Amino acid sequence: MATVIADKWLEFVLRGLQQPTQNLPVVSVERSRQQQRLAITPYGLSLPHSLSQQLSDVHKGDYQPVDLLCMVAHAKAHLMHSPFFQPVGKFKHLSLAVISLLEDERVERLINQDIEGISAVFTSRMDMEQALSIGGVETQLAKMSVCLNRRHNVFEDYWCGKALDMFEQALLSCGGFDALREVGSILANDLGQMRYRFDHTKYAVWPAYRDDNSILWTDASAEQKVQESVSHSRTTSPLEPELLPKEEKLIFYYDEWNAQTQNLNKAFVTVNHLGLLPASALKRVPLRAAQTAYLKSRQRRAIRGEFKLSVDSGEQLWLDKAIERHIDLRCKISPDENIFLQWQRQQLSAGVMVLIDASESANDRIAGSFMSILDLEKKAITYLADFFQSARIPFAVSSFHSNTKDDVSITLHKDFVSPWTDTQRRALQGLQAAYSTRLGAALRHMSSLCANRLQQPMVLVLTDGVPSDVDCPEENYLWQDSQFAVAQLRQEGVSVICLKIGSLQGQICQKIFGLSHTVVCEADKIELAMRNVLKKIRKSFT
Amino acid sequence: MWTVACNEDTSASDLVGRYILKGNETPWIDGPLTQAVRQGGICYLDEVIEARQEALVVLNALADHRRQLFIDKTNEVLLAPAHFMLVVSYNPGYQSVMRDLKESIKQRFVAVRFNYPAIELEQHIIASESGCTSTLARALANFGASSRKMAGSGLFEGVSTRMLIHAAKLMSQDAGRQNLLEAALIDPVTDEPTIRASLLALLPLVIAAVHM
Repeated sequence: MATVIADKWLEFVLRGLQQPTQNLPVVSVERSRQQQRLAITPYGLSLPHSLSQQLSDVHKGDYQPVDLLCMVAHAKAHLMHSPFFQPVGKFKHLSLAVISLLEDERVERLINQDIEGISAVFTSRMDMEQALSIGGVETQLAKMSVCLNRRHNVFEDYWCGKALDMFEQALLSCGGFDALREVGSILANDLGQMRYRFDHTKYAVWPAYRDDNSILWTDASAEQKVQESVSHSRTTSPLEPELLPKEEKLIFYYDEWNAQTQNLNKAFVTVNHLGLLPASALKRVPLRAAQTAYLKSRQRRAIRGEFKLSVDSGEQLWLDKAIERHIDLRCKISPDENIFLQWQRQQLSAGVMVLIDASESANDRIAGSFMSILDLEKKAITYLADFFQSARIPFAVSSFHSNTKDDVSITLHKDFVSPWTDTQRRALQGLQAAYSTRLGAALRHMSSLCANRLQQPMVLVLTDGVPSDVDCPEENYLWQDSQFAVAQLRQEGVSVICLKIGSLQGQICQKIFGLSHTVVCEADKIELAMRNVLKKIRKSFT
Repeated sequence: MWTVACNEDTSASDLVGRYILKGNETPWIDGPLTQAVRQGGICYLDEVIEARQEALVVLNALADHRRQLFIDKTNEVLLAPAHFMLVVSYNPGYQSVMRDLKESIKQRFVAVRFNYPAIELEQHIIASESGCTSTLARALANFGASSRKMAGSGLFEGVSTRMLIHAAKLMSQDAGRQNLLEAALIDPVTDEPTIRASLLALLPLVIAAVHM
């Protein structure tokens, strides 16, 4: 039976459709059983299960090359011409759906300049009878899509005619996506006046080759929030992430593995969390300073990556929504009944927590170089941050050192949702190395920081080699605990890889992280090491 | 013009000539290269890279300023007349990475590099050779260009202009059959499932042009 490899297939088709001057982003394919439509994410294209099935066996009768071509061409159109992660603002779900359809049509017209003849193929998928058979407000939206595509009010529907006129006028005025927002808002308001009910949870974009447009908007998922913060940091002066007061620290207790006695010592190591507030839902509630840590205001919630969701029942009334509802009622517009407030926590699909070993040994010079291990770690962070930002992968940066089991200090320099600012870069360049390396506890804390935040968490450890601490005379004890911690993390679904700085004592690192999860980085070959690390990260996320 | 389709058995004797057995005699027979030199014609060696190395050595003196063909078996030296021309053709880096013309031979020639034609020119070629509509010719030229962009990882070579002309001719006979396009454009270049599916995904652009 012939099997088509979806990633390769997509790469080929995109390459075939690409113009010599274009440089489309490299995309990977995810597959989802839940989603009904293609989704464009910062990490690639997420194919709905039905399309993946079509690809899995090209000899089956339901294989539709036309749908697949339209899907890829449409995705390419968005990648080339759409602005991503636009703020939802006060738009309701119906408005977002209408604006998204207008944007779909706009980019499909633009892509015809690149892929000659694709308009006719898009039109072939706009079946008029099918549009009429959907039912409800979706029919109205589908009819609008058909009219826009054919540039003619084929249904002789007043609202579709209005949509067509306004759309063409907006394009003529070269307003782009911004102009469509206004048009979409008016059209959606009309639909509201017509008493159409719109259930966004059941809505699937028509025709089926189109994507779910989640890439256009923020607020729909945490990835978009992250992207917003990244793009925000590029354009305006970023908000400085909130630092813990200097004297304040969060304290955590973690288990430690004793390989000799085969015993897990409960709450054995004390970790002091410094720097940024951990934005994640912490897996282990701190035993002390818990109240100070779980903070007071909405602002802090926002920094922690939480956002407000309006619901139809609850304990806390959302005043803004209640006022909006009242205004809507006065304007005789069907009101949004979700006037109660509920806090939701963002969940990122994937992200990398970089953990820097800032122990005294990092001050050592690398053999044959004037650089210290710490210098090389800082250089590596610069490379990695550039890559993460260009690949839109959320990342966080921490450093650690220890001074006995009672004082493992971990500083969170950057959290997943905070922007990567010049201040942070400078702060990291000023990082000092001191004391020892209790790696196992640091790894467990990293797992806590990623917990409930990431579906695909990864911890990337930058270290010079062997874990050690002044209260551990037994030389195998700490690396065995680290090995155990790595196994624990992997069992919890956290990928762990190591960038071993300098070639000395590499064997211990390989024992802790595994041969295939360790990349050795030497002073004169940092680019090569980075390439290998990025390859592993990419592989892990696809 | 003397044309020689070179292959891996083509030797110097095949080009220059040899003694043959004829009744009770062993007369000398000029090869195509010698005949061209004697008569001042054009000798065209097609796929010259396929010929044996020793066959190409005889070209050295002929293709440089000496313009002489040494025939050691008859102890003759022929001076090529002014209007004698030697033309060779091959696909560089194509048949085998192990095979390439020696630099010393390459540099004796004036080279003309042929690549796939630009889309507009290819459209014109397809339309004029097959008699199809310019819309279909354009769509086929675009398909060819797309397939060539895919070449490299698994797909050895993109669709050639020759194949596009075949496809256009087939479609003019029965425009309703998509499998004709598959037979003309996809199956000859690959049987690898993923690449095949990728090329298949681009076919609707051609089919849309057929119905326009």
